[in-house]
Amino acid sequence: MGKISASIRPWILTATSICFGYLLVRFLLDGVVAVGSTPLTPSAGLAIPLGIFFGIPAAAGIAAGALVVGIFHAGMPLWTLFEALSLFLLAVVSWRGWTLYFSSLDEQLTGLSGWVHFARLTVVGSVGAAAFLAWGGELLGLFPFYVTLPEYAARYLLATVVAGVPLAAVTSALIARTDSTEVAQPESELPRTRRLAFAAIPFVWGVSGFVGGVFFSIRERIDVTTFEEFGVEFLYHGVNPDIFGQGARRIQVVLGAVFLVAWLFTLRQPDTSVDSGERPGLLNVQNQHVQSDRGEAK
Amino acid sequence: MKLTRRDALKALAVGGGAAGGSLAVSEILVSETAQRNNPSVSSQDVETLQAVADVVYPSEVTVTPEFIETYTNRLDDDRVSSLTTTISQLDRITTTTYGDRFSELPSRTRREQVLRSLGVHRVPSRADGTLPERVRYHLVNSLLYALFTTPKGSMLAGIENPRGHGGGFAPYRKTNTQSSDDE
Repeated sequence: MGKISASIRPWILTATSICFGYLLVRFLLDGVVAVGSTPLTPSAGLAIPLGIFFGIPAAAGIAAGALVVGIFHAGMPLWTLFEALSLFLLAVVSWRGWTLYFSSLDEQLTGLSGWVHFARLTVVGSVGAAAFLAWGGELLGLFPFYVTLPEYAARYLLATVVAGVPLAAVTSALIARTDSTEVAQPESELPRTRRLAFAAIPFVWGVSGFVGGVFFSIRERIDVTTFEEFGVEFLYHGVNPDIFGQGARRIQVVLGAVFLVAWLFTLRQPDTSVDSGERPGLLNVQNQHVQSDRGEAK
Repeated sequence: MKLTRRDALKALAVGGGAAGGSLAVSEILVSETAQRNNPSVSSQDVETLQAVADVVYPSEVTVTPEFIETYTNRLDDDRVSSLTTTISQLDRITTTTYGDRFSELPSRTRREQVLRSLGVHRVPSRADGTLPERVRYHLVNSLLYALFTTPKGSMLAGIENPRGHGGGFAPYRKTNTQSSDDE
């Protein structure tokens, strides 16, 4: 342990703690209650608040926890990987979305505007992470996009409302008592189009994938004569499963990759604000303290 | 932040690469999934089929393992292979979410919730499709076929002599006797 540098140590500690916390919630509370046919999974609700407060270590801890659960239950390996990546993405998007677009750290959840930002981030992040997982389902040939998207978007939203909001309130109150929040940087000024793209891409992806999937599914069930009756038989012949795959899997995979890259692109740190300092969650703020303390000691 | 032509080209290259790469990976994975084989039905598989039947059959029907086995024994190797692969995947996905295999879930309601959350009621029935499509084809529809092609099962729908059932002499005689009595 002595060989691990001081800057990495708190990172590992945070990730490990969050991983254990995630496992505890996942094994004890997940799937106990269901709302309609959607199981309540409080473990997924940890991703957004912990992502906002702790950044990458939280995302890594939660993703590692999801992988451990998949291995423990001998689940489908690739699907487990996508579930873990989806939670990782949810936490990372929350952190980046918060620091880039919504609020500075010292304004977190102390007033109505903070909670409004939290709600917006929850909706955008949940839809985006669910779209990513639905894309993974199509990529693996396991689940249709139009089934996975609403199911997991509902799971993430429900989980965040039930588990994420109380956790965010408690964590925010605890952090407000420390001095660490004072080193937060002011909100960076980003172009309006980029803010819009960050919020809109998950919805455009979700809606187009859902509508396209449903349309293709209907086309596969209806006979060509029905299309001929309406004079739109070109749709039947043009949208052919032999070309596009069953349920338009190939289109979903290609368009999903493009949407994913575009969405991740909106999360990049802008060049103009590189010098102003990045704020990768509370932990790195603490690292800055450690490094500055070392500098003073020298 | 000013976007340059280089940025646009970079974005196009990354997007195109990601799209092409993911499509190639998808094609490989989907073709591998279709090749898996396990042409024998285990007792666990029968338990899972029984649990699915408990959800999809009318409440007045009680399913026995013998009924399931009689049906699965009539299936060819390809069907059995697809059936067992589908059951295995259903069990794995259920275990990941609920911690138990499908047949070990505590109630009929919970099992119905699992099938609904997988979208089994919304997808088309397809033998080589996605997991919900295969569950609908190999499990739900096959079990319904097994039920409604037996005289006892089809009687629930008012059909005494189901199409495809080797028999029907007794109802035929009964009908003829009734008509001669009427005359």
